Amino acid sequence: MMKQVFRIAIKDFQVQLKSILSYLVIGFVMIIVFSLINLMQKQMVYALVAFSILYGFVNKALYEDERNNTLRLLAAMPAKRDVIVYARYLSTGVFMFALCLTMMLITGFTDLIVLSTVEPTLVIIIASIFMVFMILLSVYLPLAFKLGYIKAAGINRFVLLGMFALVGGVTAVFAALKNKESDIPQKLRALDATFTSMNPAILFIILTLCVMIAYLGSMRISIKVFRKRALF
Amino acid sequence: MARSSRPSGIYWARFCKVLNGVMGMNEIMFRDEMILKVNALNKSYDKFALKDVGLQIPKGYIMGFVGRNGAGKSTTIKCMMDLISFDSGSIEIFGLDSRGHSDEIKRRVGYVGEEQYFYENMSVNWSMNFFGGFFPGWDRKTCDKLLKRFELDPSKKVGELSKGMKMKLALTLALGHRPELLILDEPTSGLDPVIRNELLELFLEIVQDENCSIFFSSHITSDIEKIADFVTIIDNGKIVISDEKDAILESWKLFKVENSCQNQEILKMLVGVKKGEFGFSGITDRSDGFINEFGKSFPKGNYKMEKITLDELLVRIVKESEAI
Repeated sequence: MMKQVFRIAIKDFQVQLKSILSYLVIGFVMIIVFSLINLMQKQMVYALVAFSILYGFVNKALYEDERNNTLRLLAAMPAKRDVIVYARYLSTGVFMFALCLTMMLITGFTDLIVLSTVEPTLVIIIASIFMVFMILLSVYLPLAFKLGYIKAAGINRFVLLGMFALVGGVTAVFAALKNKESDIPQKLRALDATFTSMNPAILFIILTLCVMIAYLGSMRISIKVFRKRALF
Repeated sequence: MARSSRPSGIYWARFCKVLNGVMGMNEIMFRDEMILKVNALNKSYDKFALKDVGLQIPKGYIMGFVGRNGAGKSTTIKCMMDLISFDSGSIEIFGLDSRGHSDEIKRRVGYVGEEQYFYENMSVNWSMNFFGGFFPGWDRKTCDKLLKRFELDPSKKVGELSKGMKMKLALTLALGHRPELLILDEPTSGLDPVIRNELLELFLEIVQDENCSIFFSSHITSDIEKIADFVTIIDNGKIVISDEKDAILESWKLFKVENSCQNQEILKMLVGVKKGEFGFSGITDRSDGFINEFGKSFPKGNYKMEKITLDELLVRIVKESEAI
């Protein structure tokens, strides 16, 4: 079974080899340009580049199967449908990890060239950005397995907008509460204090674990919905 | 294109059939020889349903699955391949239940669907390696031979291939793991006569040389008539006829009668009756009964009895079901 998972996961890279190269070139150029001219905050640049490359990869992989109707062919192979889901999560995860590492290396080098030093917090910032994307993909992939790429991509736009609105809203509420110190509920204040006092490394590990659990949970949901999906 | 030598399995199948019927024996003896067995298969959609579909193929033979578009051929095949679920009934392939042993069955079956789906931007060679990797018994040499025979360029992108060439690629993939049963859904539809003929010849070779059975659906009855040993006709989700091709063509006859020799008894005995200005025609598998009845009703009347083609049989049967 693992052989089949790897075979299909590798296929996700093979069918869009040309696109991956162009994503990487565009990303590389964007990072270099923004880092050198220092127009935006670095975090924003990384988020922008990573977001476009990662979504490009996932969408292209989904699109290739949708356009060619190859999910039907894969379903006719002597492999369980679960294998197709595992493979997609594996290829996305591997690509995300490779992209994260590449960005860390590139930013490290540009920092060394421009500032003659490397900011260690940057590693955590880039990793955090990828964790946010992992959560977004955890919502997107089950949609794609249930509804197919075209419908899922349409719905996902609204999901993304909703998530940005939610994050923005929560941030605004917290900012407003901070101004009225006495109005902050006791439990929220305790939570804030716990996070503030926590070792950043431990906090990072906890967050990573939470994101991994969300990703694996999303995979379980995808398997369930894909088993029931009428492909034919 | 008739097959020169026929395996002895067909006689064994007939023998068992007779025994089962005459002595009331259970079907174990018979089933051992059956590579595919569908029993009382039911599958309902909003506007269409398969109703108690039943058929079986002895090992080493070709069964043609005939029916007009939308009769239920592809739905039956998808149920066989466990690509869609079914409501009730059972499907046994190699004696294994299709739902519980889906992966094992797929490993031993070569399947070609009604449409050919590949990664269009990838090469023929890549497709062979990718899809072949799913089958433990994948034989690259066999594939290379078939590619050569089909004049398929391995370096060519799949998207550049014509419909006929894609069908050949699909067949190469289906045959690459030396399947024991080939299940083909409309393999010759939309292809030109030359390619169709080439494929039909290949099917005959496979059955004779490779110890493989073939189940193939088509609405092109001439293809089925050319190569099939057994024929199953499906219409509106129901199996109308399922038997040996020769027995079907032997038993069903076309009768042409003058209009002056028409009465309800005569008409009742015919299926798919067509009425014209001077006479009417219809088919029946009880020709002796018809001749007797006709002789009694119209001692001086004339009729013409003709052999029937599969095409004519299908058309008449469909006409009859529409009338009902």
